[in-house]
Amino acid sequence: MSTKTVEYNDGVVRQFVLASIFWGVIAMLAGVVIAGQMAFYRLNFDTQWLTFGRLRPLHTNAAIFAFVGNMIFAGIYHSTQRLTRTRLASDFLSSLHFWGWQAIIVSAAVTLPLGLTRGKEYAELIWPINIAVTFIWVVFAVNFFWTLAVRNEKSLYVAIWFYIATIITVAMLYIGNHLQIPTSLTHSYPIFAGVQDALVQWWYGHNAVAFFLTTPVLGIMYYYLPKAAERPVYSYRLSVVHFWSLVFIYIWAGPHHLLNTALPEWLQSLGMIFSLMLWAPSWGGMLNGLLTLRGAWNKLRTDPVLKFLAAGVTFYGMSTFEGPLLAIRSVNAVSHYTDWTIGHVHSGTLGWNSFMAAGMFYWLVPRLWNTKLHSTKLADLHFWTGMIGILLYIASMWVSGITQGLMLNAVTPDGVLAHPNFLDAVTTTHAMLVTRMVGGAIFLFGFLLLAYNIARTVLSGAPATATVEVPLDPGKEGMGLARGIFNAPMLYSFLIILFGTLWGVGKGAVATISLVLLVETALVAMIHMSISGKKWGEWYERLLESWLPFSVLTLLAVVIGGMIQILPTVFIDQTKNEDGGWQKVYRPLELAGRDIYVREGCYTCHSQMIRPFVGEVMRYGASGRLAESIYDFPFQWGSKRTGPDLQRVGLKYPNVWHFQHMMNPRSTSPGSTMPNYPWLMRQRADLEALENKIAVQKRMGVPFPDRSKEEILADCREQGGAIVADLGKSGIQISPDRKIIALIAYLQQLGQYGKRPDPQPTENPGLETVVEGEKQANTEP
Amino acid sequence: MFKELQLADWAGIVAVAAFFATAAVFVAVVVGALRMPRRKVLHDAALPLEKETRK
Repeated sequence: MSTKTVEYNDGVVRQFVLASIFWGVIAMLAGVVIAGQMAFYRLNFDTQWLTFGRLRPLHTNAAIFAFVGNMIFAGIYHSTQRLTRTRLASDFLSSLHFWGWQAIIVSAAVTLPLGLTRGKEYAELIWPINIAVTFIWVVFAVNFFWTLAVRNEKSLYVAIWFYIATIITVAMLYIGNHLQIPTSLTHSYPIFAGVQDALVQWWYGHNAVAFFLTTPVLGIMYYYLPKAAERPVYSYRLSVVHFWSLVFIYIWAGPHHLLNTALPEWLQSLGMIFSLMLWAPSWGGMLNGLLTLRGAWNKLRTDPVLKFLAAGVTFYGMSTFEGPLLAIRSVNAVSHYTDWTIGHVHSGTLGWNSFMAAGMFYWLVPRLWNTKLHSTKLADLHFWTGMIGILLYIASMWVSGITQGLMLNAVTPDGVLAHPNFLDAVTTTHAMLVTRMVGGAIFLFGFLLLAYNIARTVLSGAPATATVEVPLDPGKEGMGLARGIFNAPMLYSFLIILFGTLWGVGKGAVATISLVLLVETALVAMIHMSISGKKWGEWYERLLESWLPFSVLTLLAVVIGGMIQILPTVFIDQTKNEDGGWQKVYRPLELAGRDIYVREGCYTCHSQMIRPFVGEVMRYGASGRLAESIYDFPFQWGSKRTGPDLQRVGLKYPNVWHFQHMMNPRSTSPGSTMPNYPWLMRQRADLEALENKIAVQKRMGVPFPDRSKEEILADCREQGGAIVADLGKSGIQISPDRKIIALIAYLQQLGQYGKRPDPQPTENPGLETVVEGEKQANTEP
Repeated sequence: MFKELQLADWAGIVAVAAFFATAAVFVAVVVGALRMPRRKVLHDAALPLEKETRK
């Protein structure tokens, strides 16, 4: 047989590997710093660009997109070339992808500490960077699919399916959650507000974990684990089931981030049910990975690669067991807004992502530089320090999280809060926060060992050139888009889904007829399959060799879940919600204050969503309503309470309290770990930008009154002047255009609209509880 | 209030329909996986183990 030699492009793989290690150090260092800030507020250094609210997004973005991002690009480019026996389609696109991605990371590292943020978790980067990310992702997709189109291997190995799902779904999620209208070069508002924004955000946020941190790494597992163990995956059929079930189910589970909030019940149920269903595919995948080591377990003693990969897969199993557990509403009632969630996330990122990355690097680098690993002992030391670091981290967060959840919800037999002062939970868990910082530092130390070990390995070798002989005619069969999608198996599946849905939805005759048709269709399909079984098998086999219809079906699988969740809440009549008096548009100064609140990352520690639990209602006031956030671009429901909920903090304290609290939180709330914000007293609020900001919000349907720029500024002066005059009574002299004044204006209106005389009293239960709760609670923001 | 009741009128079945749809597709995929020819399974499973030349 005639053959040709294919030389792989491993240059770009080497670049991504080194970049991942570099950014991994930065991400973990930032993590240790902010862990320290949670325990010792002085580590904020009273410096705006070093405060927790600004560094936390830097840490998460660096860990997800810089460290894991570069790692998965390395793994995808390396393994895809081998699995398709083809050089990457374009050296130029590969290079553009690498340098473009690094430029994006640098831009993020500069803008986030400066407070330039969109205020949405894991989606903080400002709109010009969003465009760059989208462009570079398209470059990646073109390069990847182009490579598939010209490949020299007929079959698409299961790892490539996971890569396809990653590329398609991340593109869909990223675009969906970054739809926005700019108000300036560095600021924009998302087009969604309130509950719509919450749903879109967590549809994105949850699936960023699923399709950026999980599916590509699963693809890497399915390639590198057999490679390192030198035996095929335990069950290829199970990997097929793993892929499809994971892709179908994962996308639905986003609402579990919003359990027990004002989100409609059906969406909460949807999120919980699909989260529980995730147990099956996740554990199927984990077992498939671990069982691949059958007969090779003895190698774990000597081979650091297998040690890291096996531990990584085990952590995958553990964190995917814990995730659905936390998505059970009763468990979530305790865990949500606490450190438990933080521990869960880090068992995934440290245990799963970092260990899989380490395993891949230790396997890959000696081969990419044609040498041997510098030190196996150092790699072993890295493994054990990493393991100790992770265990300290997640165990302390479990203890801390459960303590916080129980303390803050506890009510005595007399019917009062057992711990009315929020700070009781902060001081009680302080030792755990210190333990978390130590665990993180130990993990960072282990990763520095990896960096050193890899550096020495690289310096001891030279970049290798890898080649493979492939047939001149690889004999790609595959099939076109139409034949891939329009065929008997797909038709029967569609009909069964249709009749099943009608049976569930319909009543009386419709339900009966649908049930009959459902059973008949299923029977016909079974008979048809038994007659033309071979043909069906052929379709499925060829589908797995045809990247285009395969990709389209994957897209359909992930689109359905998102559409059903999000669309019903998007296509609602907003105007009807303005009649209940639950919300009105912000005054200009309040809007300016709100943007400062978002800019400083207050949402990283404070929620604005009171859950309907006795403890929360007594502590904070009446539970949150959907309508209260309809003008919130972006929504501020939050995901963590290092400080108390602020949904009804307005007028709870006098203006001077807020002023002093922002200057030095310990002056009003002894024991608080909140940073000082002295620059808010020095810096001017950008009131000039309000005209444009209000114009953008009006375009999105917010009923701001028509006002000129002068009228807007006059309104700011009026509201700010009143606050300044009030502060003056306490001897505080300050200009009304300072940021602190705008922030106070915003904070003082939070929760106020729900207290207005209600035209429909029957729809407004709990106002008395608000008042009583305020009398009793001694909380501090 | 705020459409929650309006949504609840019809949207409660969404979870059931979604579950059913996913279950149907899941079953179809499992059947497809189980019916994959053994030759195909062995070939695909061995793909990561192919050797390359390095210099």
